[in-house]
Amino acid sequence: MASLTQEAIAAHILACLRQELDRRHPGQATAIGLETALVGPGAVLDSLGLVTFAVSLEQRLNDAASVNLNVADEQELTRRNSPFRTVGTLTQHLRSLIGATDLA
Amino acid sequence: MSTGISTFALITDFTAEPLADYLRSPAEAPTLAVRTAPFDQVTQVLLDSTVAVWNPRPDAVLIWTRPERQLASFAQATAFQRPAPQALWQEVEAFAAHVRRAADRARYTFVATWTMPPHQRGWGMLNMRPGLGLAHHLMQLNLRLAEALADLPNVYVLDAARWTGLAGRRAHDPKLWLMSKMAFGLEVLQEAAADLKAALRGLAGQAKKLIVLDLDDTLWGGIVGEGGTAGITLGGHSPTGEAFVEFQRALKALTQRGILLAIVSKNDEAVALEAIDQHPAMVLRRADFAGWRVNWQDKAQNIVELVEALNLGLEAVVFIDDNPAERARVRAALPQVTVPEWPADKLHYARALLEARDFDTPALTAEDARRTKMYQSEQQRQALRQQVASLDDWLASLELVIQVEALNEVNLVRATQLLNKTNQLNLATRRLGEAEFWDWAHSPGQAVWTFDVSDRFGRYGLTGLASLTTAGGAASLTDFVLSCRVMGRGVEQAILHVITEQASARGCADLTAFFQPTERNHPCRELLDSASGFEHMPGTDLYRWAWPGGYPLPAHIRLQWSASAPAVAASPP
Repeated sequence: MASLTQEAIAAHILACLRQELDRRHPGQATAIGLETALVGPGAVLDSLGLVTFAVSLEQRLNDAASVNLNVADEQELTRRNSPFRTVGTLTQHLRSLIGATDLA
Repeated sequence: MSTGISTFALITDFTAEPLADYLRSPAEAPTLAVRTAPFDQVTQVLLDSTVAVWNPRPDAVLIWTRPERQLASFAQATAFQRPAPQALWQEVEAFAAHVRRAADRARYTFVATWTMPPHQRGWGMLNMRPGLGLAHHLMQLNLRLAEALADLPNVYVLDAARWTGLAGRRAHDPKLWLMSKMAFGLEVLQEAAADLKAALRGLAGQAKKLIVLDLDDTLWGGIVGEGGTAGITLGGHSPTGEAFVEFQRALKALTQRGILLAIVSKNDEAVALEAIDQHPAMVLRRADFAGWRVNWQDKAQNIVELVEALNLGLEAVVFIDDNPAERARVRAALPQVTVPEWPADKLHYARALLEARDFDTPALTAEDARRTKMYQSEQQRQALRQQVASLDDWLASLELVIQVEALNEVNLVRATQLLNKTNQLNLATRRLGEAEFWDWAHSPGQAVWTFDVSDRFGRYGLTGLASLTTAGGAASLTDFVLSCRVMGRGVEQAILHVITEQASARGCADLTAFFQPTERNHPCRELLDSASGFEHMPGTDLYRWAWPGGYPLPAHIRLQWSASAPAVAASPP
């Protein structure tokens, strides 16, 4: 499995998030960054959007970087301290998943 | 340009909100206000006209279901039980009956065909075995469905397998289904939305009518001005030569659907035409083109002149050129013209044309297949015009005959097409589906006539339409529609003659016409403002008949009333 830098992972996440937001709210250029909330208070995605975003990200990482990860993981999406809280926490989560896979 | 179609309803047995998003998107016309029916309540919604999704009446609706959900027998088949074929057919008929029942609740109803995820291998090598295989069942079910709905003029069955095929492995994702009940991936929904929008543009009469083509490296490989006819790459055994032949075949096929072809090329005209006439591998010959401008002038200017000569609007044009600079120039100068990005790889030309969503039309008429011939006849007429001394002499030499016929089941398809596609000489610019137009024409007080025009050069076809609404001794001209193909040769006046005679035959002393202005229909106002017999009511768009008698039939026109005309048009002259 190819290795990805934290910056590259964040870029993939932001690209997928932009795609999702553009579809849901065309013409509204919502500012997004590492602090953007994905779930919980202030989240920019609804529950359906979160699923389509996570599946799209999973596909994108596979296409662009040959990274096979279970991004759309039901437990991770719904658990209390979800890594999907923000773009930044999701980036760290995916980096650690990739790191764990690299070590395996 | 507005399509007049703005509201859309989705009735599905899966989560379709992303499809609604794509349909709402302003990136591609029309932008739609979309309502979705309650999740997985297809039958209930189809049977109940009071459900919110039907009120107010949407312009169009898509019914998209999964076969294993709608057809219990098919669900049995997926579990490798063996349902009786009769049970499957009955369930399809029942579903079609529900669609039929709901079909008048929207102007247009789309029904997506049933598909299975490609990962469902069914019976494997037996999957196409009649009476057993899931793939075989599915094909038969879709055929039955299409046939059961074929007689409904406002219902269109769309091929969902195309959408899933284009999306490939991303067509279905088990996670999307299990986590959010999305039966299809986003790529499928994007393709569906694009096809639906193309269909809606077609229904609104916005299909493209003319493809303007470059020559060098577009219709053939190489520069004909440098290597001559023998030097161009076309046909033979090279993949590139074959690709150009394939592209020309695809273009020629489009002419059978009524699409006109024309050339705008920077070349020496004699050299270019020699290649078209003489090269043995040319599929397209001079007779396949409605016109050309082959010279060294600006292409945008050439397109304007060509389109004017063909009496079309720029918004009806698709311009295909391999050169990005020429494409950019035409895009900038003529934003109404559609200029698709064109593949750099010539082997992809035919594919790019075949997947274009610019040519969807709701019906095909006899006129469509011979449109290029009609334009060539027109060029012969214009050549004659150069030879005769006066306009009257020219008109007399044409030997024009107009067949007048009431709207009937045979001419309905073409009449509706004319109503929806005509922009310039169109009084009200009404856009109606076949069923709507038929119902309107057969309401009390309405009468519709069609005008089929021919002359000694050939048939123009059904190119005119007029309708009257009468009540209490007053008549109103509702539609006055004439194809630009026959404008300016007295047909307008012949229609005025028929209208005024018919209003009089119905005992109507008062005849009015309400002009609905649009961006394109100023020729209609100019006709009314000329010596039409109608007087403009100041400060309004209303016109009132002011002459003591009817409009005289132009001397150079012979009118023939079809036997069926009196069925709607009482007391023809």
